[in-house]
Amino acid sequence: MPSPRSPARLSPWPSLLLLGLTAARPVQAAEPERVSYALIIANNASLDPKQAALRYADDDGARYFELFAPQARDTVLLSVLDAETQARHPGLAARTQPPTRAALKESLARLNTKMAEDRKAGRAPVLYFIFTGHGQRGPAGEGTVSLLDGPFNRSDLYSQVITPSPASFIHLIVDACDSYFFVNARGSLPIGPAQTAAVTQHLASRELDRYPQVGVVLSTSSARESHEWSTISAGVFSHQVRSALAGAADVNRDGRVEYSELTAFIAAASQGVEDVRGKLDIFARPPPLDRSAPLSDLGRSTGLGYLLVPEGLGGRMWVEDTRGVRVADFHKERERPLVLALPPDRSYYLRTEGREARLKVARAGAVVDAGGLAWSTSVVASRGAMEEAFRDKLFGVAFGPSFYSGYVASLGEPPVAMDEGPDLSP
Amino acid sequence: MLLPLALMLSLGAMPPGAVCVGERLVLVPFDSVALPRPEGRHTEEAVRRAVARTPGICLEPRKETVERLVALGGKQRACADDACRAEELKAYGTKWLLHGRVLGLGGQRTVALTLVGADGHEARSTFSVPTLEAGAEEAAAKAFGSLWQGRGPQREAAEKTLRPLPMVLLGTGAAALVAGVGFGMAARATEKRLSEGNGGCEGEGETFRRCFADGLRRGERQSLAANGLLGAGALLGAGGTLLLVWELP
Repeated sequence: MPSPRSPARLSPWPSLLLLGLTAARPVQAAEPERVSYALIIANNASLDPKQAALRYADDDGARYFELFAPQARDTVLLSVLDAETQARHPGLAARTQPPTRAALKESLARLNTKMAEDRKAGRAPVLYFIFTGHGQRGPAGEGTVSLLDGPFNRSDLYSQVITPSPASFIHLIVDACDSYFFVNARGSLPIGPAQTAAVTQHLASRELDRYPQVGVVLSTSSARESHEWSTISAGVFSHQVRSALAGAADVNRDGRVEYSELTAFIAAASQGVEDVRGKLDIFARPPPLDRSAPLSDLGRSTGLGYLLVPEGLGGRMWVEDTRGVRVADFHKERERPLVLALPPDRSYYLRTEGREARLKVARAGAVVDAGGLAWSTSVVASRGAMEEAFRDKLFGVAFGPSFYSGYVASLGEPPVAMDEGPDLSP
Repeated sequence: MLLPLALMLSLGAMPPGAVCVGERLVLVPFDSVALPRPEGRHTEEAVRRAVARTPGICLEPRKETVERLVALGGKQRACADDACRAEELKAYGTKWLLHGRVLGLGGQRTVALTLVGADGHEARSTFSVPTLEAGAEEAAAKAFGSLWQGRGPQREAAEKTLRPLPMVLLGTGAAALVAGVGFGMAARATEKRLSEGNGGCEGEGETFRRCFADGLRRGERQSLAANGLLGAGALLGAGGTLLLVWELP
């Protein structure tokens, strides 16, 4: 005789009711898995003999590679690294190809094949197309960027990169002179947030809007070389973009860096720089298809490690690895935590004015809590007026919800949903 | 003399677990990064369970902590030094504060714990949360245990040996009191029997006298034992009560 608690005596109705309720609920479509690909072109040389070669475009390329390689399915770096950069990034030169039209075409074909396979498998491939180097505006007003063997112009960008790409989303990040004209056909440069609405309207009929899956982040400054900073051995714009993508721009702590967060972060970082040579102008437009599409998602499974900078630590801070590569800069509000994604298997210094702490990101997925680090005194020196302007003013303004809210309000853009803090329900 | 007995009876009447003997600890509701709030709360509950079952800790119920946090303005302080953290502890009215943050980074779940002591000094630990529910609690117990071992009260070991003593004293005292009362009642019954009629003795002369004298001696012994036991019970009870009060946090 079965006991009263025997499963044989259980009524089937609760199970059937539960099953019915489950079936009655609307089925939420699972978001397709996003897979990333990065194509990075970094070229110090210029096709114009009157333009001086850049010093750090190749360094920027190498650093973009180190940021994307652990999280992308395939990362391509087209660059000729100079001796200093090769010494700083041992082994990386063997993984590069020259920034030529042929190499670019071949790389694009390979990535497109992989992305097409992803689409077939139900995944959502995302392509990051990154250029750092010289650019200029041609006689016809068409922007070009310099490859080793010739210019790569706006028409090439559309016909060879954007149009044939099977990517679900394409993020164009361009750090070059006149890069605005490399992506857009015509129009006056946006000078500040007040003109953004006018520029956006102006661009509505332009070519870019035919590709709603494409988002762009451009440095619209006219002189790339004046925005290189020897202290960080990198271009200032590219360094800010990498800092933002690493997580410093994640204002609402959801792990995602959206376009509005990135632009607000760069605006805060550049706000204190009064020297016109150091002023950065940027243009950013999220993909119209999904204006909340993240440029970076720290929640995704990647090969990166993480540094948690908790409340209590604040002010202007930066992370440098033991090779001397400046990985990220930020000005943190003391009241909120910040998480930075860092390439694993190496040691870093977390620095602030006069103090530094050494840390090691031992493996992918490891989280280092900066609150438990041992700090010691340090000295940072730099020379020159421009150096001082960057050193003293860049990242001089704290970035947080207050700055972000004001910035996006001035642009008239919808803000990201702010973090509500801990759950205080009983 | 009846105080220890009353105390024992009142302690016995309380539901089990109502009196927590140990260090009072407040676990502040966890914050989360790159993770939805419900998942952060879920992980917080696992850590809360792990902390609650740590010997020597009296964890403040979440409801009370939330009420206190709301009364403090709903926001936690962003302290940079020990003095600020010590002030924060005072505001919470506790000697130990446990902060936590649940991070959903790189497709994994990690918890960063910070234990703050009364002096404002903090100790930190991070641990990965396994996908299985039981695993989460175990991982939390291990991580918190390492923090507590290093930062917990140094007299914890001494407490482990001292803690049973008050209860043993109280128990022995109560037993002595009960036995004393028993002997007292027996002595009283003997006295009553001897003071009425023949005191239960039969016969006459020497036989009767011997029987009556035996009854008197038995009554004396019972009375002596009752007094001794009641005195010892009172002493043991008072000692146990004193020790118990001394050890209460």
